[in-house]
Amino acid sequence: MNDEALSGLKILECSEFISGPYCGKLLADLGAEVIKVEQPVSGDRARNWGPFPQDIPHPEKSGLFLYLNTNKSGVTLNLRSEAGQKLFKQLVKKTDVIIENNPPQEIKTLGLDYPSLHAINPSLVVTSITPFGQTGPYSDYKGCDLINNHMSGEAYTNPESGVDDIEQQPPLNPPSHASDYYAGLIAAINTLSAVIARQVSGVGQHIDLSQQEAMAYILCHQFDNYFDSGVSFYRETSKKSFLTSEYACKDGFIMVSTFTDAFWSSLVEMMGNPDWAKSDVCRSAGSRRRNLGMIKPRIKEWMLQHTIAEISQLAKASRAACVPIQSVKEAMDSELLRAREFFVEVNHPQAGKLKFPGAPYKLSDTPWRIKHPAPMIGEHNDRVYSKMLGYSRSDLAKLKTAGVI
Amino acid sequence: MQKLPLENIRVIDLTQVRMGPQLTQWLAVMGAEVIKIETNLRQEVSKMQQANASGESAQVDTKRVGYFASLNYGKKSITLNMKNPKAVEIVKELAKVSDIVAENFGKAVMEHWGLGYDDLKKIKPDIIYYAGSGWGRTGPYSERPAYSPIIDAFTGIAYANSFPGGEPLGLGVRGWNDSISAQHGVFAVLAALYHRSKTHRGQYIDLSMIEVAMSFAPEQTLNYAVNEKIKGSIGNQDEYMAPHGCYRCKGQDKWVAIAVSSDKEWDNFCEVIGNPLWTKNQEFNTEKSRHENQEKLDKLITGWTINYDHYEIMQKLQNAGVMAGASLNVEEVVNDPHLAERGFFVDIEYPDKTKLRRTGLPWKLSDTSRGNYSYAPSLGEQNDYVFGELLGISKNDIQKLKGEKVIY
Repeated sequence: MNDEALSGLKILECSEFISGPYCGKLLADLGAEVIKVEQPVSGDRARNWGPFPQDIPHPEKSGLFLYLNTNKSGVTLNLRSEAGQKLFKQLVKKTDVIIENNPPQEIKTLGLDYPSLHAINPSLVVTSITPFGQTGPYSDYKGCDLINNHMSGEAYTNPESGVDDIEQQPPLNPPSHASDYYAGLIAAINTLSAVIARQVSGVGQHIDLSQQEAMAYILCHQFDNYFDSGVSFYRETSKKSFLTSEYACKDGFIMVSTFTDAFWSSLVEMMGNPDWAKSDVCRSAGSRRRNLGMIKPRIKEWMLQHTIAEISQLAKASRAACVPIQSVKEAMDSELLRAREFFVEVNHPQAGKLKFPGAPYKLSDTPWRIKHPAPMIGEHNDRVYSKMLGYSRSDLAKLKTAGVI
Repeated sequence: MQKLPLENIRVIDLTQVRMGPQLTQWLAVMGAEVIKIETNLRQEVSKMQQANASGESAQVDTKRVGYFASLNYGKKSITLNMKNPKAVEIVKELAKVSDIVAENFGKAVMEHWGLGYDDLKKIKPDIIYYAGSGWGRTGPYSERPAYSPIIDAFTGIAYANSFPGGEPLGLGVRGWNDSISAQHGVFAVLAALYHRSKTHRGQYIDLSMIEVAMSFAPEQTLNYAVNEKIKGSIGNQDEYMAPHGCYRCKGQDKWVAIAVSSDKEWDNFCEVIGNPLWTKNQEFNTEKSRHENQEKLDKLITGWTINYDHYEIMQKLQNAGVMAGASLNVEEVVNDPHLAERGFFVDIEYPDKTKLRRTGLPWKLSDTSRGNYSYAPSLGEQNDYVFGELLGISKNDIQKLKGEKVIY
C-alpha cells in the first residue's frame, strides 16, 4: 500500500496542545499512521480550548483539537503508572517515530528520555519540542507562545513599522500561536529528515528542537544584517525606513508595498500618475526610502479619498501590490480560495460538520486528504491494545479500572 | 555519525527571492547537491533587494554580505542564458541526473521553455517538481504579484495583529509568509522523496503562500467557521491566563514577558515580587478575577518590573517556576548566552580562510553532523564542475558555449 506519501510510517504522538500535534498532523495528513497517546479522562489540554460550537465547552468539540488531530488514532495511557509504562514500551517497539513536547525535567519520569527509548528500539527517531531545548542555561525554563515570541526577537520586531510611543506600546506578541505552529512545522521537517537518514543507516536519532531557535530563525535577515552592518532593529527608529505599510482608506485599511520598482510604478499608475511622483526623489527605492516623509503623506491623502472597492479594482488593473486588510471572513468567502477548493468539510460524530483549512500543498501523485476526523478520547484503545498488542478484553477492562487506560 | 540525509540527492534550483531559495537552502544543508541556475543577463532578486535595502544601487559582494549570502549558503552556482535553446537542452541533460527541480516563477515560465513537469517527466520519470507561487498555479489570482505583507493583508492575520482595540498593523517579520512557505515546501519535498524511495514514482508539488498561510494560522478561521466570529486582536494578552503580558523594565526600551498559568504559579509570582499588600486584594484572588481585572493588575506589576533589568526578572521568576522571558531585540538575541552555548549561529568559512557569521537552520539531528554550511557561491562558480565533470562537456565545447553566451 503506497497510495499516500508517508504510508507505512508509524508514529506515536505523546504530546499536547499545538506544537507536537501540528507536527503529527502534517505527517498524518500525508499518510503516516499516527497514534495519539492521551492522559486518561482529561486528555490533550487543547480539548479545553475553543472555539466550541455555540461557545459551550465540550472535550469532543474543541475546534482547535479537531483541526490539529485529523487522520490520527487515539488511545489513552497513563505514563506515570507502572502498568502504563509496560504497555508503552510494547508500543515503542512497534513504532518508527515518537513526537513529544513535555518539559525536559519530566521526560525521565514519563519514560520519554532518549536513552531509555533508544535502548528499547535503536531505530527509533525521537522528536522533542521544548521552549528552549534540552541543553544550555535556559533548558529548565518554562515557556509558552508569549514567552517564545519575546525570547526569539519576534515580538520586539512586531509591528515592523515600529510604534509611535515606546513607553506605552510594548513589543507585541503576533496572533495565532505562531511559535507553536512554527515549532511543529520545523519538528516535522527534522523528523522526516531523520527517517530518510535511517533508510541508509538503520539507526534512529534524537531531535532537540528549541522553539526559541525555530522562531529566531525566521528573523535571519535581521540578524545577518546585524552581523554585516552592526545595525539592530529599534522600535523607535524603524518607521523611518519602511517601504511597505498599512494606510487607512475611506472605509477600511489597505496594505501597500512599494518595495520593488515594479510595485512603485504600478502604484503611481494606479493613483493616476500624479506630478509629485515624477520627482527625482521617487526614482530609486533607496531615494524613496530616504524621502518617505514626503511620499507617505501623499499616498495617505490619495487612499483616504478612495474606498476599498475602488482601490481593489484599480490595483487589479495596474497590478499594484496593494490589497485591502481584510478579516478572515472575506478570505474564507474569497473567489480565490473557493476556486482552489481550499477549505474542507470534516464530519465529526459529536461536533458535527466543521469547515477546516485544507491542503497547504497539492501533491499530484499522493494528494493531501482528510480520511477521518480527530479521535474521541480513547476511541482506538481496543484496536491498538487488542489487535496490535494482543491484550484481551478482560485485560483491557482491568487496565481501565486501574486508571491505566 | 550518520551520513547527511540527502547526500545522494541532486537539485536543480531555478528559484529566486526568498520563498524558493530558502527551501533549496534547507535541502543543501541536509546534504543535497543544489545547483542554482543564474544568469549574467539580470541580477537575482535577492541581490537587487540588498542594493535596495542599503539604499544605494552600489555593487556589493553578494557572496559575502546580505540576503543572498543568507539564503544561498550550501549551494553551487552555474550560469545559463535560458533564452538560448542550447541552454534549455543543457538543463534537460542535467535533469536526467537530478532528483528534484525547484522553481517559484509563479507562472508558466518553465512550460514556455519546454521544461515544465510534463516535459521533464518524459526525460526523468521519477523527477520531483516543486512549483512555488504566491496565489497558486491555478485560479483567478495566479497572475497577481505576491509579497509577504500583501498575503498577510489577505489572510486576516494583519487584521488580527494590533494592540488591543487598535488599528491593524503589518506583521513584524518581513518575509514571514516566504519563510513558512519555504519550510512547508521542504516538508512536502521530503515526503515526496520518501514516497519515491518506496515506489520509484516522482510527482508535481503545487505550493502557494496563500494556502500555507491560511492553514498555518487557523485560529481566526476556526472561530469564524465554528461560530461565525471574527476574532479581534488581544496583543500580549491571553484568553484565559492573567497576568499574561509584556512589562516595562529598567533601561532604554527594555521589556519582559510574564505568563502565570495557575494559582500555584500566582503564589510563586507574588513571593518573588515580595508579597505586596495589593496581591491579596479580592480582585486578584482567582485566575478568572485576575483576567477580569488585568488592566489594573498589569499597572501594579509594572510598578515592580520598572525597577529591574529584564534578564534579571526572567531569572528570578523562572527560578520560582513562573514563565518569564526578556523581550529581546536583535542585538540581544545575537548575544544571548543560551543561543551561543547551543551554537545557533554558524560561521561560514571562505577559501581565503575568512569567516562570515550567519543564522543557522533549526535543523539538528543527534547522530548527524551540523550540515553543509559551505559559503554562498559567486555567479557561475561551479560552471566547470557541472558542465565538465557532471555532464561531460569537453573543455573546448564549454569555451564555445561561453563564447556563444549560452553559458552566461
